[in-house]
Amino acid sequence: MELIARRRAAAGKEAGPDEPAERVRVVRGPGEDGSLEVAVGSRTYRVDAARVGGQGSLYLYSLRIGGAQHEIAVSALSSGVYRVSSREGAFLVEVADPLAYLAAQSAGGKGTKRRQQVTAYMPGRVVAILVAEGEEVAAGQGVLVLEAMKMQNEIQAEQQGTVRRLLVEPGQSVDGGDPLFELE
Amino acid sequence: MVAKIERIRKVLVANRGEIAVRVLRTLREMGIRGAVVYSEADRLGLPVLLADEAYPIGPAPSRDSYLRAEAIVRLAAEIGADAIHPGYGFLSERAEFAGLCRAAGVTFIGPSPEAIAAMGSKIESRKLMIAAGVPVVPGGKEPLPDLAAAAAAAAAVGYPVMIKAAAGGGGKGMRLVAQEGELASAYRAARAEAAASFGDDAVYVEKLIVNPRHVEIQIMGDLHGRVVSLGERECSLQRRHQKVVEEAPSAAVTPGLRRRMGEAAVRAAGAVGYGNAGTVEFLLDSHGSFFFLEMNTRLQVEHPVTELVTGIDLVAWQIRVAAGEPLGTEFDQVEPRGHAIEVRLYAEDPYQRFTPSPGRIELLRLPGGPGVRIDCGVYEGSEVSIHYDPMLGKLIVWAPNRELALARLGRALAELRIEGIRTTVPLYQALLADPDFRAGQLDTGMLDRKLAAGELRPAASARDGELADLPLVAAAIAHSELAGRTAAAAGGAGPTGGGPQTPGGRRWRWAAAGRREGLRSGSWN
Repeated sequence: MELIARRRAAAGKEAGPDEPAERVRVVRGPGEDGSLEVAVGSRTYRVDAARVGGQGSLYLYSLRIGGAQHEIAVSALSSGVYRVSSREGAFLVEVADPLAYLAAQSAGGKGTKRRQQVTAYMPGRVVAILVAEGEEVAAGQGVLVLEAMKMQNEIQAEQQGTVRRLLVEPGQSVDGGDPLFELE
Repeated sequence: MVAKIERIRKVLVANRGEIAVRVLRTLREMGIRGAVVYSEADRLGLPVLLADEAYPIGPAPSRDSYLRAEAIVRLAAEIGADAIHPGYGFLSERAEFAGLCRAAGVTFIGPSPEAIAAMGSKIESRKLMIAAGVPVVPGGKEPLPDLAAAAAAAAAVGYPVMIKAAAGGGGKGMRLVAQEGELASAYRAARAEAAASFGDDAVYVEKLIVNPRHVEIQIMGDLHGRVVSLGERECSLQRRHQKVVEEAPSAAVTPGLRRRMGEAAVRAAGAVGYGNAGTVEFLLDSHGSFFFLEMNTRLQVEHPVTELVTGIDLVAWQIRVAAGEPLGTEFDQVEPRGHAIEVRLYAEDPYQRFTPSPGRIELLRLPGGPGVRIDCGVYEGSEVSIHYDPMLGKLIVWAPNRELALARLGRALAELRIEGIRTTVPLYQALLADPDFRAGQLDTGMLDRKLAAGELRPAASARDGELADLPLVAAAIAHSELAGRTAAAAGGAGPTGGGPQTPGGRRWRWAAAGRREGLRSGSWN
């Protein structure tokens, strides 16, 4: 199976850029022991992959490469996006087939309006809205207050701009990912 | 060996999560029947599964369930519980609740309502401590009705200052103000948070002691006037005033300082006629001066480190003392033995501003072996709800000295696997590599400073070579297994069941996927 895969930068502002994409090839290894041959760029690994367990969207593997054993959990977050976590840490990895990857590359890069929709990064309840629609806000200025797990978190404008639309009202419950307001 | 408690045969635990589990464990060891209350969100919680009896107490929000003081006391009377253990948080420090228990003839496992009330207001307790000769932090004592009053009080003690909720605790309703310009928003936020957390928005201002340690003394008092110090806990590692790592003993406390702090804590407890487990919190500055912060009139989250270095079961003695027993001979000469460290396992992403991470725990494998203790309120498959505090449980290790305890903590963290939600585990792994933490050089601002400076990131993984490629290798294998399953299901061929995989089954599937790949190319996503 021919794939394109890359490690996505860890989430958070201070993270570096995404890693460059690599070609990855997964094929059945030579011999009948069931091991796999996985090539990442020019590097080839003979991998004995055993499924330890896991449920739902989680796969737990014991991977033996040479004698080294790595227990790795892989969760499918969305189509082609995986969270891979081992004792060494957790990474986001994007996997795509080569043609789809090229298509996405050429479609990107078009000029887009700098209108930003800010979403809730966790489920919670809107307890206060600190600005009005149409109001100018400075970078770092609080726009609304979200309460979750007994903590109040001020949701701030990441950059200076105008609050175009407020999409929630005080008292409203939101899920993680729900839109809160639009900043332009 | 102390005789079995006759007065208390059934206890209702008015709490949830890991602390309810902790109390149930001691109850079973003491041969006491354990009952719990649970909210609609917690029907399948671990406390319910471990309890002898379990009773619904209302919908998920705390105010409709775990905070229903009257309903809980009524339930205790109905089910014939002799006593209520409040755990920490929720009703544990509400004097009215202890009073309701008393009125209903149900033993409250904790201090008297009068002692709770006296220590519950930080403003009142400061006055009491000053009168008892316990050193306190300079600051205003009165609630601040408006911003102008707050500004005047802050100017009087001098910036930097802390704004604190009068009824507060656990870091809620508390804000640091470095300079005057930050006062307005901090004042507003502290009042709002105080109102939401405690139903009381009174706040006051206090001088900030620069770079102090948070060192607290565990005390235990009986109903016959005896109060004993069980030594200190070092709790300086905090994030936004919420403790995350605690240890005993403290690297900064000498035997002489331990004795002086212990004596001050016993005086503090004596001033309110304290009779149960309690904690007197102090700020300790770099010169060895200490200042009373507050007294927590309940069991603390971090009580296990004291249990491990003293060998005393604090929950058992809370119950014995509440039943009227005098403190036993194990309290005559309490000296810490060895070293214990606790890390709190929060369902929060430490690298995303500690965003809560509710969800289903897809995988949970807990460490074990020598010197490892787990106080955990969840199991594999548990849903972590948005309604409650995000602490899943605690990992505590004991070893003969601090260096060995650090090594043991690292080993236990390497064994621990939690998947499905984000946790603070990577932060602790990074802390173990931090030279200041390893040296025991701690202060209450250290964790926030290091995080703000971008330190304590996950250990930098190799940039090239096998380890750097591992995430890609694993994701590609999972991706091809998923694709193989989809293709097989669509074709109606091959074993696609979700049950446990035999090695043979697994290999057959890999071989099948490999063969298919020999024939396929192009888009399959």
